[in-house]
Amino acid sequence: MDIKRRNLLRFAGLGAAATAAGIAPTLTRVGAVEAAPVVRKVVVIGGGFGGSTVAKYLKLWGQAQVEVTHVSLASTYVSPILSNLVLNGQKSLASLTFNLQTAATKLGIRFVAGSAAIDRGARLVRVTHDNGTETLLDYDKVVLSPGIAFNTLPSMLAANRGIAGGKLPIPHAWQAGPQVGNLKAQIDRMPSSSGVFVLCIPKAPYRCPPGPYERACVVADILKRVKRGGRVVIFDANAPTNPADKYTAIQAEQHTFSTAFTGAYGSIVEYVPNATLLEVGTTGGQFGTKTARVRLGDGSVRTQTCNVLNVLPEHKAGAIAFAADLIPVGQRFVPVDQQSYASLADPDIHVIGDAHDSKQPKAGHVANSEAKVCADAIVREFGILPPRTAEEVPVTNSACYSPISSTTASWLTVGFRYDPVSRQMVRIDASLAEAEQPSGDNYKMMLAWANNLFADTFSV
Amino acid sequence: MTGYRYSAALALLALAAPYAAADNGALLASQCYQCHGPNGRSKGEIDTIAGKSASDIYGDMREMQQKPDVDIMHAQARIYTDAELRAIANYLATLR
Repeated sequence: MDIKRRNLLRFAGLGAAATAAGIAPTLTRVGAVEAAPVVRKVVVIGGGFGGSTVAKYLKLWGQAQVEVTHVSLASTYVSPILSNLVLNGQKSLASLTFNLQTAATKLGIRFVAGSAAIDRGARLVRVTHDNGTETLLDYDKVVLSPGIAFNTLPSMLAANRGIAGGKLPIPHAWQAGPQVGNLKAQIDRMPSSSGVFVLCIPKAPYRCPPGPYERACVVADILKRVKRGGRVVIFDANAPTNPADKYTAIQAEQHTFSTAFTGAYGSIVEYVPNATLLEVGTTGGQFGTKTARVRLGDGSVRTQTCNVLNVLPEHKAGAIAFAADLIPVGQRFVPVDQQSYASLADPDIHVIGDAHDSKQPKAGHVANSEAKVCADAIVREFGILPPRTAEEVPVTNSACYSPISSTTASWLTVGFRYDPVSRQMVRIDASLAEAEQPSGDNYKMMLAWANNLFADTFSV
Repeated sequence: MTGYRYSAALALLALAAPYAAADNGALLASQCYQCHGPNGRSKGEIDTIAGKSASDIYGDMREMQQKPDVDIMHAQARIYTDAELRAIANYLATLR
């Protein structure tokens, strides 16, 4: 049976099912038979890779039948992807900044800048603008892609209290923006040959599994090339899967990063797994001296003094997901139906990207992938397209390139498929692969990949 | 009634193209765009895949799926079932 014939039968079947269910056949909504199509309202909250992609594809696939309003804190978004190249001066923050208002205008959707809160009872999104005024948005569906927030140690909060992101003594720089510029400034001020950079990695899950190790490589490369020496100490809270090999604590691309840490950067990088950050300290502000106190796997405590202390705190979903009461007590991410990303607490609030709970990694590329599955599910739930067949299960992919030096990069990829038995997106082991070695070709492909990902996501 | 639904279905198919084929092709193909660019049109060194013949795309993907090469596209090809590869290839071939 050819595809057109099969489609026709499926559409006919849908019409019959809709009629039997006592609701108007979907087909009338496109205006083919009757006028006055139903227009469904979707409010997308979040300006990152997940939110920007879902806003675009809801409009693309829903057309006039879906009215999309895209809400984000600011009218621009700075990509964390490629932001480690700000540290070595190969990228500027401006080159990684995307205008959400411009994208919305191109796509024919409304953009609203402000801080959002969801009133699930009233089915309203309340957006508070910088000037204190409010916009109220009613909805049929909300798609929430709020990204991450942090559980920050009290000592880190105290060290940074009252200081703007661009001047913090202890930045995370794990959301792109002023903190990344701050981290670059701190690295630039490190002394020649004797500087110490400490990177603290939280327990998984965290945003971008290879990202911290990538950052360690980029900084080690700067120390080696520009500073003619220095040290990068990595305190990784994760434990080795093989106790005899500490590098099995690395959360992604173990081959690539263990080779870099023992080879090209062997005289610079010290990798310490099972290292739980207990306390941080600072004297002298942004460019002063910092200390990190960690508990090691053998129970001992180590205090490390350094010029730069880059702490990635424990991750959790963005605050709005907690405020909307979508996360069970004791959990940090939103449980969802992994076919549609509908929250298990409210089927009309879908949660994609880093804030949702699944085995898919937390990262921009896969958030784009999840966003398309979510947009497709919503358009089908609205009846604009027929329901998925049993064979049409969601499939997503994660792929990324990581700079290893100023001229080389590695890559990592893996796919996920929905398993109806476990009701989870499950890793497809045969599709898991990482680069055999960093290369200049991979570095070129990294820039090409990012440009296409930015174009698909932010309509540039 | 059957005739009504049938003609409505035809109208919807006409309206829906090229945004979404009624099968899974549009969604599956969109999963290529992160690397290959929106609607399969790349801005740089990665191949444009829009508008290639369905048999070329399907043949390339099948070949990569079956070879053991350590390569990002070979790994990506192993994500999909044969039916999914056909749906992707058929959809991409319709893009201009």
